[in-house]
Amino acid sequence: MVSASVGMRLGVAMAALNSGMLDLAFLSGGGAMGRLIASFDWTSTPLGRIADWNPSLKTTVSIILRSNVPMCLLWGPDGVLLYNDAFSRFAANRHPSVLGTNVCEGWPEVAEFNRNVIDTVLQGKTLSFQDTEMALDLHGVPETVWMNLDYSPVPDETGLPAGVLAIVVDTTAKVMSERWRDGERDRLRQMFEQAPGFMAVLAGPDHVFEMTNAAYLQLVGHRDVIGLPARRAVPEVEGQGFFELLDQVFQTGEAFVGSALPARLQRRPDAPVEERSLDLVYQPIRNPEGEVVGIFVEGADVTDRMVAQEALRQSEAQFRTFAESMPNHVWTASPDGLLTWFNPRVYSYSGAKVGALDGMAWAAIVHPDDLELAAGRWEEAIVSGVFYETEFRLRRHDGAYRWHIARAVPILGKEDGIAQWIGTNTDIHDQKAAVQKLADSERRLKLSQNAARISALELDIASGTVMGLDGFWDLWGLTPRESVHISVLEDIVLQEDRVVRSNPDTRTNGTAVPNVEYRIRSPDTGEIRWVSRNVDFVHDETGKPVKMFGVMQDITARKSYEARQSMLTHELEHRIKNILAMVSAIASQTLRNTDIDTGRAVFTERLRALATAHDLLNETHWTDASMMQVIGNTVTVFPVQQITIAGPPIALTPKMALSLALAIHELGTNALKYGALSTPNGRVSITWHIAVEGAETLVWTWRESGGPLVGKPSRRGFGSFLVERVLATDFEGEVRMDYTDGGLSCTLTAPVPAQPVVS
Amino acid sequence: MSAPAPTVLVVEDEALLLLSVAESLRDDGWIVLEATNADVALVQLAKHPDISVVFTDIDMPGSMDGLRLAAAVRDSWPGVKVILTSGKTRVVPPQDSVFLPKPYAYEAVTDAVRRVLD
Repeated sequence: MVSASVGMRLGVAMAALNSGMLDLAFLSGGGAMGRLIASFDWTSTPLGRIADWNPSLKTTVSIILRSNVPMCLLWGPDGVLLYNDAFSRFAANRHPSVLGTNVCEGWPEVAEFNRNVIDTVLQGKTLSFQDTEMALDLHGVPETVWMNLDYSPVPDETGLPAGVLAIVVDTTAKVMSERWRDGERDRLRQMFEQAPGFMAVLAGPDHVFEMTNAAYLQLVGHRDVIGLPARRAVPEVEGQGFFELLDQVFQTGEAFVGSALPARLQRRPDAPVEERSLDLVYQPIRNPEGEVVGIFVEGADVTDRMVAQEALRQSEAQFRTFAESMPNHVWTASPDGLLTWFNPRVYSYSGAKVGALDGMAWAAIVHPDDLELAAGRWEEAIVSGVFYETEFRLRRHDGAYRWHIARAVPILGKEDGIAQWIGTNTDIHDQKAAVQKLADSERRLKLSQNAARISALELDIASGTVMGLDGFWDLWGLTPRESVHISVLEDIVLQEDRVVRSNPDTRTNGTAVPNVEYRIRSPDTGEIRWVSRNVDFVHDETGKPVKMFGVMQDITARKSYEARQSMLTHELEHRIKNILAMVSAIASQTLRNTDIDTGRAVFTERLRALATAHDLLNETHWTDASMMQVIGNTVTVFPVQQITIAGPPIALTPKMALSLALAIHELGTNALKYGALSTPNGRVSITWHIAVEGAETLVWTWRESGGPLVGKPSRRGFGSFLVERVLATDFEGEVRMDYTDGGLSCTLTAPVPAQPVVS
Repeated sequence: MSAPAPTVLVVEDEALLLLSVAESLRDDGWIVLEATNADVALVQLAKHPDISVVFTDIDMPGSMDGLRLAAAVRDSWPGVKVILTSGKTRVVPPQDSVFLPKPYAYEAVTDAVRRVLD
């Protein structure tokens, strides 16, 4: 190809000759540099006119210009520079001014190198430089390039070296590539060295160490094993089976993979033999012919991992043993909240089969009313990864639900995140019931205290501070507060009752009367209340009273009831004694001057009349009685069909009612014996009215008619006494008795009795 | 009975008792005046300086009860003897007075009147 190309270009040159430029014909087809050389003024150089150049120079220039390989020619002892287009790239910004210069002047930075080249090659020698690193300013900035430089002599027509031909080959790309390959090997080497697992390359049937990495050296205690057969390098391994395994792999060509193999090794040259656990692979290395030439050993010391696993296993076992012996329910759950294990207590409590509560199945033994809250809390705990606590009822094997408190804590793993949850359920049923009972009891106590207006107090004797509970402040008519000084309370007590209260002396020496009652004047309403106060002392270790605890009760209602009771008792006593006195008076008057049998009968009748009036008064609680009723009830013992009663409603005092009843009884008895009621045709008319003549006057009349003729009795007995004297006196009026042909007429004229206010 | 017989004032709000006691005292020979309450009694006392004895119930309606009447008598008529009576047991009669619990026998009243005048 080269010769064909040259031939073609010679053809072009021949054409140039025909153009008449014979002297420059050798430059035609020489590219840009050919034209530059043709137009260059060479007379100022040692080369002189192109026409005078010797044929050897012309031929050489002609060859250079037609080559694609960068070439230059240094002619003569001065090294006048000529070069081709390909070389002009190296000349860069010196091109084209460097053409025709003495090379040591045109390229001053490498002048010494070029001087040496010229001197050497002009002596007929060659120079060759491989991958020479050079800093060239090719693109305005210096850059590192690598070149192969070949320098060879060019003889003139006499056969002596007259110039230096330099052929430049840019090897930068090749050098860079080689360098990268070398780097990759280093990286692989580094990876091998720094691999966390141990590695070694063993050669030949004796397993001679060729390479080891840092982990391997660590394993064997940094012994220098390179170049040594395995049996000599690590003799303590003898008898453990490893050498035999190596022999077997080398002979069979089959890899060996072992896991957690026990090995006894020396970790340092003089250290005692240690038990280690190794995972390892013996991988046969084959040559291109497929023969086993060595073994690649790779593995890891898993002793620490095994120890950790064993520790974990033991810790698990301990946890299980502990958890199974606990009286509480114990359970574990995975980080996603599914329950994974329960201790036997859970199964014995619930009666569930082992495993039947796993996952979410535990919900089956939770009381339906508590499940939503419990499941919600559990979900929150799983999401947030913090403490779980809830209370729920769990169904026992017999169907009874008991309150439990469930708690769980997340157990963090070695890596970030939760490894599992450990939870417990503790039976709090009895405590909860007790708490509920206490709350109920407290509530009842409070309600009953409120109902009874009882409140609690606590007095610190030294400071005089009184603390009150519940209705205490209400009782004292004070706005509710934390505490009050006792002097504030003392001022509220009525002056005359202060003597019964405790005072600083009786409190300090503990002689204060424990149960007292006194009156207070409520500061807010001014109302006077009775209160009772019952206290106990609390003593310090020396027996000195330090606190008074007690209760106070508003006993105003009781006191007023007691007062009324007392009044009623006295009233009743007075009334009974008065009745007895009246009975006594009636008896003594009745029984005077008469025989005992007659007297007894009359006395009985008079008592009955008195009793009838009492019955009436009892109905009104001895406040008053109606005139009509007193008369009506009294006359029932007489023939009532002969008696007419008429008059407006008038209320009588008890005294008047009794007096009237006794008087009517006497009048009726007398009428029955001697008057109108002694005959069937007789009539008695009882009437009353209010006469308005000056002051209002009550006029009450008993009038008999149709009876036998009666005259004024000769003797005034007790009957007349009751009618004329007692009735008149009790009504503060006058009684007149008239005896006419028609019969007896009795008239009471008296002030109108005061009428009770009608409500 | 030596003349002139002393006058006795009976004070009692129950007419039956008042009149009965008065009758029995008259039967015994005394001159007897009657009053149904303390106010009437004071009027009688003022009107009749010959009253030597006041026999009064303690429990009476009106402006004064028997105890106050007795005090008034002691202040205004120091020479007049007072006999008190009451149905109530827990009564502490004033000094220099005679107390007669209810119910009483008329003989007890006449005896008491006689005794205070001795």
